Amino acid sequence: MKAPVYAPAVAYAPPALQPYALRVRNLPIAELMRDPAVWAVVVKHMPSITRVTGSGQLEAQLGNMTLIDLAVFGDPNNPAFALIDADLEHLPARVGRPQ
Amino acid sequence: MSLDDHLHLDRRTVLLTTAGAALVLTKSARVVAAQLKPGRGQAFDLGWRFHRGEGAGFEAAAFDDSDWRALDLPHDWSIEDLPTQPAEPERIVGPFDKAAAGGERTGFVVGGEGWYRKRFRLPTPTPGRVELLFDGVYMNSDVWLNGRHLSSHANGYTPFACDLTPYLSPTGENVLAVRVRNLGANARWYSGSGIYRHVWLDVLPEPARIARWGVSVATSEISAAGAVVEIETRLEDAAGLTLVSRVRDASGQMVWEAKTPAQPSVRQTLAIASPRLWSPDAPNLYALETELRRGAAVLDHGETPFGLRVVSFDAAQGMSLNGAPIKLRGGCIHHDHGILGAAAFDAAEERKVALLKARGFNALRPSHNLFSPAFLRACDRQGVMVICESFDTWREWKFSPQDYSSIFDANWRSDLAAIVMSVRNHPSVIAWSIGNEIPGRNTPEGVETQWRLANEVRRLDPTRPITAAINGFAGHVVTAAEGTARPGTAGVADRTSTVFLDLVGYNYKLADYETDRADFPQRVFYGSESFPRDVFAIWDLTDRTPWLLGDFVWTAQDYLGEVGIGGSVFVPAGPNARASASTWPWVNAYCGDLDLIGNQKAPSYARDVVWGVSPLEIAVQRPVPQGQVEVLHFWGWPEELQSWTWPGAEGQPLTVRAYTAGDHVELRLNGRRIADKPVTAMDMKRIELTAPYAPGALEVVAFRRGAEIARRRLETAGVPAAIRLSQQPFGGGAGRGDISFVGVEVVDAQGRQIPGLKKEIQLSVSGPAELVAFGGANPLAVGSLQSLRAQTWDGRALAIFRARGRAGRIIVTADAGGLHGALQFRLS
Repeated sequence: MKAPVYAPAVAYAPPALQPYALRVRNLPIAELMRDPAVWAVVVKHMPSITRVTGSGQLEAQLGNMTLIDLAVFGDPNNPAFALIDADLEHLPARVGRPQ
Repeated sequence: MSLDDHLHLDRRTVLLTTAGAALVLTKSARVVAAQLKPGRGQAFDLGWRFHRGEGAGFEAAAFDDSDWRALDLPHDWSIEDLPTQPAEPERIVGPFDKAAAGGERTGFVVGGEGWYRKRFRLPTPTPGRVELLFDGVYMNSDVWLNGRHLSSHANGYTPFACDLTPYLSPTGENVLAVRVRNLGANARWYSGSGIYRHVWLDVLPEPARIARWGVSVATSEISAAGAVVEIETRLEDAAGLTLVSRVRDASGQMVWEAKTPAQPSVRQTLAIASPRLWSPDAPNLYALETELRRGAAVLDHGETPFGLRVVSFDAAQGMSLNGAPIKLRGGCIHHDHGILGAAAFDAAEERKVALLKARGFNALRPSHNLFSPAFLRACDRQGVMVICESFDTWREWKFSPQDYSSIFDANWRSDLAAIVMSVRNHPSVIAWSIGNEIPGRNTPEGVETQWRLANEVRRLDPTRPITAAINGFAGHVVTAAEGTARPGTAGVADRTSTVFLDLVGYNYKLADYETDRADFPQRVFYGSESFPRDVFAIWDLTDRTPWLLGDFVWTAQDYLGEVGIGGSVFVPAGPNARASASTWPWVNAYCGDLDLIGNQKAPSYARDVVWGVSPLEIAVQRPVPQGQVEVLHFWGWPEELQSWTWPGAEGQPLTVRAYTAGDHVELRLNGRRIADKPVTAMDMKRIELTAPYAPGALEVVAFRRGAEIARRRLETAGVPAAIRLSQQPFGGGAGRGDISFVGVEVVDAQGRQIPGLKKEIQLSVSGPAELVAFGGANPLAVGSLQSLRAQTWDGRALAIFRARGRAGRIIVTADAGGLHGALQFRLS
């Protein structure tokens, strides 16, 4: 058997982003927070989320965590997720994330 | 001669005793410097002076350091006792300070600034090249020679070298000064402070040498005809010289030799017939000897242990080692040694690896930084695979603006080079991790950084895959173009966090494994971190699926810092029952399979069964007070002990947990069968029974298909009657760099350990050794870790003794309120 070789690539070009739907499973919290209309929907159904985002403890990880990922440390069956998705579906489509 | 690292270390020990032992034994105020002889890699640990704190002029050659403390490396000042604060008597406990800047993250220890100085004498005239190598200094170190600033090095975990040649004194008398600054909130766990790893000195007769980390040896093919090995040797100032390379097997038999004119870079290919391959089951090693000669004179000489193995990964078939499927039975660990702090004594590294290997771990993830060379040598020798991790942050800070992100841009390339070049020949290392839970990794800049790091590592070492530990959201789906993508993945959909990784590490994403496998069938992945409580589900899936490489539990052993993320608490029952975050006086994460001094905790017993180390283990849940419930911390495990000693619980029904590979268990109390239960596939090897507590003997018998496969018995311990001291089978040498481990247990008249007992023990020691650490595994700050007096935890403690540099008999006695124990052993 031959040992595998992990050769370097030639040059960097940014990877092409694929479209995605505006849903809690598809966006990290930091991205949800960047869009006021989207964040308003989240806060409406999960008002306690502002305690998490405002605590500073998870600030650096908000780009790495969806609301569902955060639920690993809380309630994984939070009914708010479905309510948020239902409202997000009615928001106008955003650039880069067609419905 | 045998070329494994035992001999290598023995040679170092010889150097220690010949070149430097006089330094440590001297009582004079000014250390007399012994003359160092020519040679590469001479131990430079002995005879330092140390001052904890800031000061002016400490780097000056003429500075009088006679009132500084004399010490020998490795040294970690953060584990040393702090001065008490009379105005705040509750604030300081041993090395722990309730007001420490690092707080819960670093286990309430204190960093600060420290200075080291060392005098040494070299032959005259000045040798051709003299270079100093630090294996690791935490952190922000500056080095001066004879008052001249030589170098600054920020990273606290990576090795670095300083060329002393231009600034050596023509008299041969030299003074080295090293400033170390562990300031601010720079660590997310216990880091230690100071020159906590070894220091080495190269004294070469001419400028010509084998380049620092200039030898690469890798297996390129294994077949019935043998193993093919590729060697590259980089040489400096070597025109006109001869390179001699030879390979010896573990018995010292030479299996290959070549002589060639020296060039800046020399590539050689050799075949080894009937190779003895490296694997966890048979960690066979070879050694490459490299010599640089002028005629018959050897100008430089190095030895590179290596192993013959081919590691392959496949999205469908998983991992194979030398063509055979293998799972990563992994654990994450931090680099501290508990009560010893971060001081990287070789025997402590050996012990850590050996204790975990004995529990079935065949892979470790040193988190989240480079560990010591001694640790990696231990993994090579003992057959433990390693994921070598570089960073916990990139450009965006994770927990503090003072973390590594503040120096990432200036240092990532040199740090990666130091890691990869110094580590690449270890057969135990199977993958390079470029980061753990990196903030900002999904931003456009983060994705480009991922590519740059991965590509730089591939440029330095194309023989191993790139990985990273990904928590939570792995990013949006993207495709990379030809030329940017990994070979064969152009246009293949993946996520931003993972698109440039050869192996994807999942942190706490068990729920995503099977859906991701369906969505990204080209992805090769494993659990890079997992909760201890998920051990059953993880290994049920891992054992059923070839594609899942394995798992690394957080963590394999308790560590200082990240206090109290494991364990459980008893709180009033109710809908709001929850475990609040742990804080002072917690100093220990308490999430390990093994405790802080190396003893098994409850999750380890379960893992023993899940991994087939044991067919049956049992534990008893600590009774939960009336009206309360037990709530686990996120990395927690129920408070259960291998104990049938529960005074005060007489008559109460106690929960007995049995972990077994059997299909039926029977519970017996004082010889009477009181329950039996089938164990089904749904139980995943874990079952609960109930027994009314009555002192005596509790026994569980496990059966498979009607035949007994194992039984375990717990007996109620009596009152403490003695202290049992036992030398553990690690270390035990007489060199100044050697340490010995002595287990301390309080036992009853029948020799049974007393579970749950906290007892103050007073030690005394005589002979050529000194105490360097003594303590129990208590997750709370309870006292000094360097005093002859310490408290047991769960009836046990550990004492660690450092040899004074000569052979002899050590006598240890232990006393505690009428209890007594004694032990003699010999350092040789």
